[in-house]
This record gives sequence, structure tokens and C-alpha cells, in this order.
Amino acid sequence: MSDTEEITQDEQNQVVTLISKDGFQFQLPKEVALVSGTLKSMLSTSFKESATNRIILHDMEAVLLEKVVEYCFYNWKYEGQVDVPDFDVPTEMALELLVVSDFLEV
Amino acid sequence: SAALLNKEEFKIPSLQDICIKIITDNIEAVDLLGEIGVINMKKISRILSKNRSLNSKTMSLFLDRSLKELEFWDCSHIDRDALNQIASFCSDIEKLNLNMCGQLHNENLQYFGTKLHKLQHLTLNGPFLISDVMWQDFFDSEVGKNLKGFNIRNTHRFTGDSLIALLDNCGPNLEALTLSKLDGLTNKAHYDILAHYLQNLKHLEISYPNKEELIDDDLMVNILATNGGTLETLILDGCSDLTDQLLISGIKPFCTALSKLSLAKLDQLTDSGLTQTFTNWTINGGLMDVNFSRCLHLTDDGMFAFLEHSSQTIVELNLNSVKELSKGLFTKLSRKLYFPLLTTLDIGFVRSVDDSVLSILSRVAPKLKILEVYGDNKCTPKALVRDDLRIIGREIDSI
Repeated sequence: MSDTEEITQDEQNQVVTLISKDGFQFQLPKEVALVSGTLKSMLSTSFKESATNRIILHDMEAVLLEKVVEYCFYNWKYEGQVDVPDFDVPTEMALELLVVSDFLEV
Repeated sequence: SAALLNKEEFKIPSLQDICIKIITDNIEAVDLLGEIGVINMKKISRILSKNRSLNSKTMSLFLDRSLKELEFWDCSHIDRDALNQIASFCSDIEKLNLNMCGQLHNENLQYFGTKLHKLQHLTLNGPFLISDVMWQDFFDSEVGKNLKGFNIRNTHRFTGDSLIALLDNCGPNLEALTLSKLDGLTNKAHYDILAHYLQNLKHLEISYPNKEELIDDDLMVNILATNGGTLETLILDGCSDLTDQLLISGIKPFCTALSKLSLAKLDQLTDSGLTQTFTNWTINGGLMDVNFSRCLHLTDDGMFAFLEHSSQTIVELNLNSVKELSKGLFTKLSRKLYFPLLTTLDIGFVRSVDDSVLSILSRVAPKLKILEVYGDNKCTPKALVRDDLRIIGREIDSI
């Protein structure tokens, strides 16, 4: 995609803020946020989000969003490596997390 | 390291895969997976289908005694025994929709016919193991007799005799009927009897028949004459034997309630047919969802007559490959018409469309969200359009 290749090194160092439904804020490097397909397209278009680097996720609770952020770091850290540790998801969270991860394409 | 030995590239599982694995591993103890509402269940079932993970095991997540509606998008991994569980666990089901149900066996349908006493709507895509005789038995059963809606696609085993059994048992009660891509229906006489039985239709789809001459204008006019007052959806994609007469003698005089019309690939439709139909069509207040894709002979005049009639109501419009449309049509629109509700539009392969047309559309359709322009090579990112309008398919986008 031509849009994404235009993201320069400088931009990669930026910080993205994700805001959950219940008002919690999560800050992470843009590079890490790009693990999510949905966030990637939001951050690399002419949408408002790519200028402000703030994304409000209206129907996502903080517990779930925290887990997603954790996964983004996990994926970013271990991508391309072998023998990586398992990513831990509490059983009772699996169904809700599936809905959220489908939306965020992670 | 095993992955390295197999010379496979190691890929970190997606978060979705991780969740699906946990769900599958804990399927026996559904309570552990947390509370989740009915709407989300539907969503989860779709997500599992999308990941091709809906199978005999994960399926049990959705079986609930109180269930009234069940929809599985992809049943290809659900085996014969598991399909029977649908009927034994959810015997109160009213609407059942099974997609890609190539594993649905005769004995499954037979079992459904003894169990699902509240079933009213049955939708099956690809049930090619069900035999002609089984279809007849099913429609004769207590369950089959009650059907108000029957939608079937993609099987060659549904024959004329199956259709007669359906119509004999439920014909006058049917509110919804879909007969799509049924290559076992090869005799015109079988289609012709439809008009004698159907009286209450709200939804009718007859698409991609085995031979185009099976569905002709006379048949459709006869059906519309008795069902036009109630019919809301009419889909006749790929019935390319149909001509302007369908519009002039069938749709115009009878279809007062019609809101969705799909006539893809009807290459005999002409401007004269559209103009005669949509000019002063006062008994119908306007269509909401229309598909004229690949109606190759339509041009500006006919299209304008249609758009003028439905401009206030149209929400979705597909004009893909109506290749004779010229820029003149769009400039005329910009002066004369306004589309307050139009939300999605496909004008792919209408090659006259350029940047100025895009900005006209952005202006005359203030609610337009998605505009598809595949194959319109005069469209560039320079077009002046609203910020919230997504344009999909420009050549520059895909490089």
C-alpha cells in the first residue's frame, strides 16, 4: 500500500493514544499500534485520527483494550522469531476479546 | 524449532486465533467463557465462520434451548451428527439459515422434519446431498407444511418434482421464496406453475436459471399480477431472457410496495422500457435498493427517468458496467436531482466517470459513504469530494 510506505522513521517514533469506552487512556508507540490492521488504516489516511494520533474506541472496555495493547507489544516484539512464549488470555475473556480483536484486525 | 525443521515460516498466531483456541478448548464448560448477549453470539458465530473455525465442536456454543433464530455462515466443517444436534437442542427454532451446508444429509432433513415444529423460514445454500425424494418427503411432513419462507441455492438435486411438492404443501402461504442456481430445474413447465400457487409473496428471488429461456416475461407478469401488491423484494439476476415487457407489463402496473429491485445481467432491457416504466409511476413511492449492473444497453435517458422517480428514496444503487452512461447524465443530475438518502453507489466500469463526476456525486448525495469506482481509469486522488466519502477502487489506491 502506497499510503503506509509513506510513514517515515520520524512518524514511527510518535506516540498513539487509545481511549477506551470508560475513559482509560493507553499510550503506545505508533510502530506498535500498526500491528492492528484497523488502527493501521486509521493512522495512515486523511482521517482526523492520523493527524491527532488519538483514537477513541467507543465500544471497547479498558480491560479488553489493555489486553489488545499487550498483544500488540507481544506481536511487535516477537514477530519473525521462533520459540516465542505463549500469549496468555484468561478463559473468561476469550469470547469478548474475540469480538474486539475481529474489529481491530489483530 | 519444529517449524524451522519443517522449513515453514514461523508466524505469531493472531489474537483471534488465540481466542478461538481457548474457546475450542473450553467448549465443554461454556460458563467459563463469560456472559455474552444474543447479539454478540451472532457476531461471534460470524467471526468463527470468517476464520473458518465453525465446526462440530465450536458449534455447540450457539445451541440454546430458547433460540428462535439460528444462522451459520459456513457449515462446511459441521458433520452429520452435529447438524442433528441443532434440531434436538433448539426445537423451538423459527428461522434456520445454513450456508455452505454440503454436509447436510437426507437423514438430517428427515430429522428436522420430525423435530422443528415451529420452523417457518428455512434458508439453505449448497445442500447438494439432499435427494429429490427427500425434498418431497420433507415438504409433506408436518414441519414442511408450515413453511412461510423457503430459500434455496446451489444444488442440482432440487428438481421439478421437489418444487411441485413445495408448492402443493406451502404455495399459497409462502411469503419468501428463493430459487437460485438450481440446475435440476430444466423444464419450463415447472417454473410456469409458480404463478398458480403464489399469492402472498413479500420476497421473491429467481436467479441464474439453468437456461435463460426458462424464465420469460409471461411467467413473471403472471406472478407479479397476483403478488405485486405485497411484494417488497424482487431479484431476477441473470434471467437474461426477460425484456422491457417485465418492466412495462409486470412491474409498473402491479408492484405498489416494491422497494428492492435487482435486475443484474438483464441485457435486453432498453431505455425505452425504463422511460415508459418510471415516468409517472405514481402507484409506487420510490425504490430503495436497486441493481442494474451489467444491463449493457441502458443509457442516459432511461437511467435519468429511473433516478428522477426514485431520487428521494434510493439508498443503495449498483450501476456497475452500465457502460453506455456518459458524463452528460451526471451533469444533468447536478442541475436537476438531489439524493438525500443515497449511501452506497457502485459505478465501476462506467468509464465516462472522472474527477468532476465524483465531485458532482459528492455534492448531490450528501449522505453517500461508499463509492466504488473500479475500472474507472479517469478517477484520481485529485477529485474534490467530501471528507467522509470513501472512494474505493481508484487505480492509484492499489499500487
